[in-house]
Amino acid sequence: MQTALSVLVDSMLITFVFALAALGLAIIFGLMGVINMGHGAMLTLGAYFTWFATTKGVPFVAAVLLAAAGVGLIGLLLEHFIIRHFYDRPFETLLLTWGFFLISTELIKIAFGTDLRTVTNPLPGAAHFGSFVLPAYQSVVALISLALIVGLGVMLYRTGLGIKIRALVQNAEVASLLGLNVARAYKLVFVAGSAAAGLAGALISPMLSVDPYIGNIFLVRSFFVVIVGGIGQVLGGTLVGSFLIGGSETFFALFSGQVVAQTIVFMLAILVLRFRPAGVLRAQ
Amino acid sequence: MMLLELKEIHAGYGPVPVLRGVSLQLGEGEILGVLGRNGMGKTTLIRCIAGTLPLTQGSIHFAGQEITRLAPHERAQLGLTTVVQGRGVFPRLSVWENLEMGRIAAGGGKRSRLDEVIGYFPRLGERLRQPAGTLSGGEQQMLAIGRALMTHPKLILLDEPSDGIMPILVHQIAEILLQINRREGVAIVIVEQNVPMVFALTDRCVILEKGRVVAEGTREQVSQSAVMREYLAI
Ligand SMILES: Nc1ncnc2c1ncn2[C@@H]1O[C@H](COP(=O)(O)OP(=O)(O)OP(=O)(O)O)[C@@H](O)[C@H]1O
Ligand SMILES: [Mg+2]
Repeated sequence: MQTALSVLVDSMLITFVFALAALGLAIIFGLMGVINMGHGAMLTLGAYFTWFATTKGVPFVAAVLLAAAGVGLIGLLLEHFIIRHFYDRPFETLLLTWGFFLISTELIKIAFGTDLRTVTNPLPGAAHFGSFVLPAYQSVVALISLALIVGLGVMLYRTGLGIKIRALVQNAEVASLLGLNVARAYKLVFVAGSAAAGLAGALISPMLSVDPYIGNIFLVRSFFVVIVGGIGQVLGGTLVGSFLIGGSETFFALFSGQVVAQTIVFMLAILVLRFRPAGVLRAQ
Repeated sequence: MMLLELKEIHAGYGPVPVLRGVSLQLGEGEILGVLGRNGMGKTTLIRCIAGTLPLTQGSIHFAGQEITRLAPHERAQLGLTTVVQGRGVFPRLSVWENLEMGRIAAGGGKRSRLDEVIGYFPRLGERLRQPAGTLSGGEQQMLAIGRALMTHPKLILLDEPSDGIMPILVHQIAEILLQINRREGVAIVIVEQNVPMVFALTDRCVILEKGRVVAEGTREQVSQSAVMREYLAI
């Protein structure tokens, strides 16, 4: 019973961390159709910015916000100088964002070195319920992740900005004929997705040791989350995808090692894609 | 002063020219019909005026300013809006959201014309929460026109509104377009193959054939032209 409960709670925590990590990708991929191979690097940058700022004495919360803004700014520059010229060419944007990943990873190594860095956990406590433990920081991050997803949902489905973005996704030409500045709207979405990735990297940084490849741990999972959940299902898809990927990973890890568990999960994800290519939420 | 003026415009796709020197003029609050058979360049003409296809030659003026090189959204912000062929409703937005998009796309701050639109098209009023993709073709056309009206335009470009709609509804839509034109003072350029629809709306039309205007004038003059007789005989 205790184990079942703790597996459930662990799965929920993992689900929300995965959802947080995947959110930026889901925004950019789901809304714009751009496969951002630089997503992992954006997570990494968010983690390093947080590490750097906290070592310089910036309080953790401010460091997280700075990291999100910094990665958002990098996303803005990337979009403005490169990506926006290639929106109608998905393969080129894939290669270009991959180039961004390679270059920024090298720059991170030059700037911060390859040593493992640690960001001090700002909330080291935990609540104990018998044998089962609820870590405070992870719980707060899960709540932030949930709040971001709900907030994004409210924005998309309850505001004028949301109407504009959904209209843009459904028919960009008609949106522009009604007066929408499509280039600016795409820019906004790309920056929002980048900032979300930066925020995710920042919030994840105290949970793991920070190295130049920390983002990659989440990159493949993020892609699976987005694809299993269903591309374009930015909210429900991200949550359901994260739960399936994160939950089953936690579950299988009970009976086998982490690596075996991940392999099983990826194989299951591939099966899902084979039989439900539009994602679990959407029948073809 | 003319509201819309095209001077000798040329445009096409790649090396193939489609429009080869089209000139047109339209005053404020006027309705102009552009007739032409399939593939004669009607949609191409609309796209040139709306700004989604660049000209290779010629110029376009709208409301006292040259717009030849403006982006579609900049033209829309000046009061030139377009109802595309096939209507282009946002299928997964509700009817209300489609209409609201018309009001806010250019930045919001405009007075909502929802009541007027529902007055013209009561069927939309009964379906405000319905996803636009589930409307019938005729209802989608009403929605597209209503949405255009929500942008507070000076000019609406209509690309074959009769396409795929039964004749009785085409007639109703023409009536409502006339009302909109009279009450709101909106000018209309309507591109059509459906001759009765155009004649129900306006006296002034041109015939487009192989990228050129081959006849121009009042309904009577155009009806008498050799091209039109050939056209109606088909
Ligand atoms: N995107 C495109 N690329 C290449 N050629 C095109 C393109 N769009 C249209 N054409 C060609 O340009 C010509 C004019 O097309 P257009 O769509 O303007 O005709 P139309 O008068 O609107 O026809 P319809 O009544 O069928 O809508 C046609 O020969 C068509 O094949
Ligand atoms: Mg056409």
